[in-house]
Amino acid sequence: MSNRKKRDDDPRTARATQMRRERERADTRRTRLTVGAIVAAIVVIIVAAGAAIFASERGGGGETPHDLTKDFGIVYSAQTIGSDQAIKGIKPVKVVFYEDFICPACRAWEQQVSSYVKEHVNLGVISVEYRPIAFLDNASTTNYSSRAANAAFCVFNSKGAAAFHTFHDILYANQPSEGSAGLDDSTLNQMAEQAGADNVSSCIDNQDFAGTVTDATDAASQNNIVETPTVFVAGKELQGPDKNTAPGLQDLANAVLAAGAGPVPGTSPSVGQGR
Amino acid sequence: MVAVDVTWRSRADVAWPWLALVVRLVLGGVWLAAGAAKIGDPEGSVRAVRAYQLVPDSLERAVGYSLPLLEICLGILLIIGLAQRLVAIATAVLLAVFIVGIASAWARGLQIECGCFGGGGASGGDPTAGYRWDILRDVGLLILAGLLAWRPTSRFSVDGLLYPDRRTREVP
Repeated sequence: MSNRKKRDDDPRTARATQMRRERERADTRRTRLTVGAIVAAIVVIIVAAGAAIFASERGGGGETPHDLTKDFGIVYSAQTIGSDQAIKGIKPVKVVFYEDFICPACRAWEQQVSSYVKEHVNLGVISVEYRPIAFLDNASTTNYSSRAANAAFCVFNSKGAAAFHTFHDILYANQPSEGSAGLDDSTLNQMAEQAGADNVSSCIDNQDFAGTVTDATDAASQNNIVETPTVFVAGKELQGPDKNTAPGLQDLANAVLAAGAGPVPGTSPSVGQGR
Repeated sequence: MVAVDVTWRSRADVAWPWLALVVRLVLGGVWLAAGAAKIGDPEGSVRAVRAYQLVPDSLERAVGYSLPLLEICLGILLIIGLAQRLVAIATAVLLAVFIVGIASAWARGLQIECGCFGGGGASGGDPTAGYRWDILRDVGLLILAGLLAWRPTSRFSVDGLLYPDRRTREVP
């Protein structure tokens, strides 16, 4: 400090010092701008290349189970399961369930509505379109959501809606907890066999419908579905009694009544003639 | 009086680079944690972006894929202390975007989780408390980023190695 002060006392030295400092400052500024530009360029390249890699790795496409709806749904109705109890001449109310097989709220929902659904589907009062999706792959260490949804598509593709529904019930009865490894493929296959699909082991192992699961999940997200379960009755999203309470069986039954299973135009409903 | 003032200022000058180091590590740690939580599930990141309903459909995927990578880059740069002012400004801008996004989701009554550290999508129950904390946290981080952008001189930084005598000068 004192040294510099001494030098600065000499006007010529002071001027030279000042010029040198200014030059250095300009150099530093240039260096900093260069470094900043290089860093920014590298970051842009990394981000763009990484995003491109993600985009190329994205699954989707591939083989689709036959008879899937355009929204990747499986229709469980008196017609698709060949119910002999269906009431003739009524048009079932269309219900849609978005479900993730590892989601505890979906399990709770199923426990509430399962017997109602079976009964009313059998009678032809409602039809349920199940849209299995995989929002929660992060909730297991093995992408259980995707594997379970794939297995459900395998069972449906091979044995139809009734087998799918049995398998779906077995999946919920054995739901692994969030954060676990989920059930392995051989367990899924045993459960599929239990549901009557004895030929889907390679479909489950090879995840034949992984692309369908990706597309189904994507389609749900694009339809502004942000959580599971999400339920639609006659095209309207089912709401709970208030915004902090999830809908339950009563809400479903009320919405179905309100939507009214109506007569098919030109016919009159007649109970029991389906037998 | 003047003497006291000078002492105070010089003390702040000595202390700031250490505080700035702490600020860098905090911000960098948050970015790394946020990016790492999302990077394993890029499709989930896309869904979280989509849940805000703010980005045009055609850009949702690009934003969802880029965000975790950008966060990790910013985190690494902050922790090593390279291009500190630029990175601090980028951090502040990104945080401001997040704050606007969350506030807008809150204002529109969307019931979503911020997706800040992975996840995202719907929140169970009343999300208002969640939004409030997310915004408070991001505002706090934004203030830190602003301080770092204002005086990007810190201890143990790559910048310090590149421009060794910066501490004695005004930062341009």
